[in-house]
Amino acid sequence: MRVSLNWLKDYVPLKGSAESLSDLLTMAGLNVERLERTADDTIFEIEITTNRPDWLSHIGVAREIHAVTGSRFSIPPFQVKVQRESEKSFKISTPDANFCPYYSAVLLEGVEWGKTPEFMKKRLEACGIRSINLIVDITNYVLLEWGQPLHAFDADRLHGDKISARHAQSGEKIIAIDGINYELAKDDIVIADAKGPVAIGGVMGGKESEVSHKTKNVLLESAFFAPSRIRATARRLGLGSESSYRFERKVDPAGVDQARERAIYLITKYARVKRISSVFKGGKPPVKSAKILLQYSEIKKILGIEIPQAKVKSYLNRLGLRVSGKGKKISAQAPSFRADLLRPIDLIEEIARLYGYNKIPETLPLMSPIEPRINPILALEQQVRSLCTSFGFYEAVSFSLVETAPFDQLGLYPNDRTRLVNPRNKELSLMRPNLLSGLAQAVRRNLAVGETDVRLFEVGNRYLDSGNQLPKEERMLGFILSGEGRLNWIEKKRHVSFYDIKGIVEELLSQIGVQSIEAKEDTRSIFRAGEGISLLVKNEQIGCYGSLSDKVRKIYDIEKSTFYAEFSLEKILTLIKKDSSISEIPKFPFSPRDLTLILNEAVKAEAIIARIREMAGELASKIEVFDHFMGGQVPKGKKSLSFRIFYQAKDRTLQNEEVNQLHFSIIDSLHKSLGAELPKAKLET
Amino acid sequence: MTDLTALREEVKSKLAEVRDSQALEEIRVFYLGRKGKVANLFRELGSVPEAERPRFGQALNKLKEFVEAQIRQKEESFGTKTTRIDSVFDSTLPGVRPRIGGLHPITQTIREISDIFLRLGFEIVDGREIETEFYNFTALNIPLDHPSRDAFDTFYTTRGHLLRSQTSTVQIREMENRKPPLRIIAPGRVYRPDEVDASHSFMFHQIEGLMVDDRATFSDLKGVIHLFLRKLFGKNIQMRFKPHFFPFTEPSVDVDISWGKAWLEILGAGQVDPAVFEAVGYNPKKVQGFAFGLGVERIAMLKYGIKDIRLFYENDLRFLRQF
Repeated sequence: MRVSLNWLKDYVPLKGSAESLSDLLTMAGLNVERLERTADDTIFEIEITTNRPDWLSHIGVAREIHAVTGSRFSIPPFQVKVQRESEKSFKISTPDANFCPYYSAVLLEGVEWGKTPEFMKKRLEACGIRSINLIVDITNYVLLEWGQPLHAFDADRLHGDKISARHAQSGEKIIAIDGINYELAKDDIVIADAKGPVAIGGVMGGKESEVSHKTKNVLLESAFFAPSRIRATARRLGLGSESSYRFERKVDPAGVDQARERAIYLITKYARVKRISSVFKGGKPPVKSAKILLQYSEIKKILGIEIPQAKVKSYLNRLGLRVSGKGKKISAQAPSFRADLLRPIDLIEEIARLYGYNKIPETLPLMSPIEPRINPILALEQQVRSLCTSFGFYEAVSFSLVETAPFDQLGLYPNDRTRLVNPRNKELSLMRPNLLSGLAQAVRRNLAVGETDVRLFEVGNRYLDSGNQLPKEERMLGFILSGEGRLNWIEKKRHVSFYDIKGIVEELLSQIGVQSIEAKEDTRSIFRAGEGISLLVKNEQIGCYGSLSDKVRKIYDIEKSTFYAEFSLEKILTLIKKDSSISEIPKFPFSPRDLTLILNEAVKAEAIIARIREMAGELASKIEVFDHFMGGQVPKGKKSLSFRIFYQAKDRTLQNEEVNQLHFSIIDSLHKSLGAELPKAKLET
Repeated sequence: MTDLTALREEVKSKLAEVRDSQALEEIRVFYLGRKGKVANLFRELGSVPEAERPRFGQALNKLKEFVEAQIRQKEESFGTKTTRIDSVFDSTLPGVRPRIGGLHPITQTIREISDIFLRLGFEIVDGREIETEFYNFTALNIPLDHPSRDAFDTFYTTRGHLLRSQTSTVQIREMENRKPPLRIIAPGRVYRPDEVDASHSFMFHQIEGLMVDDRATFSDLKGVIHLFLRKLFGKNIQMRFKPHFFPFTEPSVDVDISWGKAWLEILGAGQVDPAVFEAVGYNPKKVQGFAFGLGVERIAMLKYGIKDIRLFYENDLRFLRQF
């Protein structure tokens, strides 16, 4: 809200600089966001919290300055000393007290007016309200002064002599002052005459009964509307106004009559009025005032300091509370404009505020002992983060809200998506069902700016629909790899491959301590056929990895081969082996034997290794692949695979003969079962 | 036949006089080179009588090993400085560095903040992101149909759930599940349908803190927050407590730090409102405490001088490599 320094001076004496007042306001809870100097005034732009609608006026702000400083404070005159009579009279009805508990109006007959006085115009404009005509300007002036919105109708444009503040009938329409035709609903409040709605109650007046320079007779409205109704209507119609803003935060019920009379006072001061009617009203202003009992001891218990009783009483008095009571307790009655004061804690906050938050000392708490706990999923997160960075990956953070289209195109998660009804950006309406989108987009972006080696990982949730239950949020680890695999100038230049991501996955899982992992082909469309692997433990999928398919790369506009892996940290957590005792260091030497085989292309390395293990049992302590070759001297349709087998026994040094015998029997077996041949050159020797 | 013993002595005495690696190299060539003395002796092997040949051959091998060993020994005695320098070797080529990645600045900031609170006896907990209205609003004393909800504009799912607009939801879940005393820190993602610009994003990170026992006071809150800010920003950091309003705390406060010439809002805090304790089934007459919440991106932006919040989510390696 914009507050004028000159205006405040009407109610409280202010001598210090604008800056010191700005500090005072800020430290009292009226956060001054900006200070604006004009030729002869200073405007404070104040952020007003929703609990203090009483600050939404100059009187309210001045009253707070009085409470903080204890300086004098006076409210402007509002008593109109004129005989109240009129030719016409209105009957007011307020059929639903839950919607409009109080509606009042005064008829001003034979109004002749001229220009709005200069000071008023200036003040309105300083506060961001355009001057329109004297009557409207006075209603706005009082709004900014008292915080009570008023409305003036051209009384000659109203039909009949009945005014009703009622529910709108569904389908009812009104053209408002802004010229727009609004369709109303049952829960809106309308002000209606004999013909129909003449205003959207508390939100905006109607065009037809608007006050213009031709207006002679004015019906001046001042009412109290149910805050939640005004809020709902203003939101639904997208029609926030200075009025609705105040009504929905709740106006001072005791101020409804005062503000109306203040407006009449000003109208009689700046215009000529022939007759002023008595007050036509329906309902009663809902003035409620809570009586709060506060034990002095509670103040210290919450704030940590003792505040003298005399000070406490004086703070509350200055805030407009009626304080009584002696001894350990105090009884305080809140003023009508402080609906937020209901409980002892509300008073304690006020006492702390006026005492000054900054004067409250700093202490360190005496801490009660608490059993130390380590959150297992957060600990695992930390471990995988360390591992991924040690593998050369940078951590990414991407949005949990993703585009739906790629998942539609890939046919992924068609039935368990969590979608938003009110996305900020229509495209980003899906809660990500995996981590692919963010990482793939990051790869595209990085390759596009010339990065040659992109390695990124992300730890975060995915979200899967669970019907009416809250969606499943699963903590995931995703990583993505694209570009060059070369580490330095010594190595040959190469592109990253499937085996890079495979190796990273293997190392990661082994470091974490996940065992008995079974690999199956992952046939989903995100991976290239045959190059996607799904990892399972005890038949449950814990993750997947592989080469992203051409389709995925096309969707995310990535030209280079790109490799992606994703794991459920939640599932992995349940599989970590904790009691891993170490195995003994071998006492006897190993004998290595190299074995190069010529195989049909289709024979998988894993099959060979499995066969070797089966044959050698414990004696093959390690089997390495050290070469894979196709083409050249290797016949078409064949490949050459080279293994190094480390033969080793736990209880003895293996003799050459024994190793040779085993080695040759393995070769023999591989030949028979998998058609493995030895290379020709070798056979000749 | 040559006297090999004499030759040994000759090598020994010559080597004794060698002072630099160049002289040593000359001796090496003289004895072990292709046309050196030892090589010549091997050539003579053919002219040695057949019966003598094996013995002489062995003796020659021993001599060769002896000379090689002597030269090596001498070479080592010079140390690295004067050993033979391979003029082709280029020590200025780049080293083969291990490739190590890095953590996102948001993670680093969360860790830095959490570490401070861990040492103050707080525990890190984790909470849901998609929530019900109860956890995001009702239990936090934010009534339905109240303007205070405006500050927490919210994304809703088609199932009627919502994306939490603040990490305070974790307070409720934790208090529901355990008894006081408790001291927790809950970092995580939060969502608000804000227009995206240099300082706003519809998704960002917060850290929520909560301390509940039977005595934690507002002045304790001041002490803890100031201590935290000093650890995070340095011991000279200035702080001020401004009265504010949050539905779930009372008294509520906005904490500013002095930054350059201005005050900057850095976190919100307050004493937990009794209504919140009631919502989770605690007796507000018996427990009390404080809560605070801070924006991770905001702090990271201050600490690293980042001007645009969008950089955090673009995952540009040129940005990520700087942390």
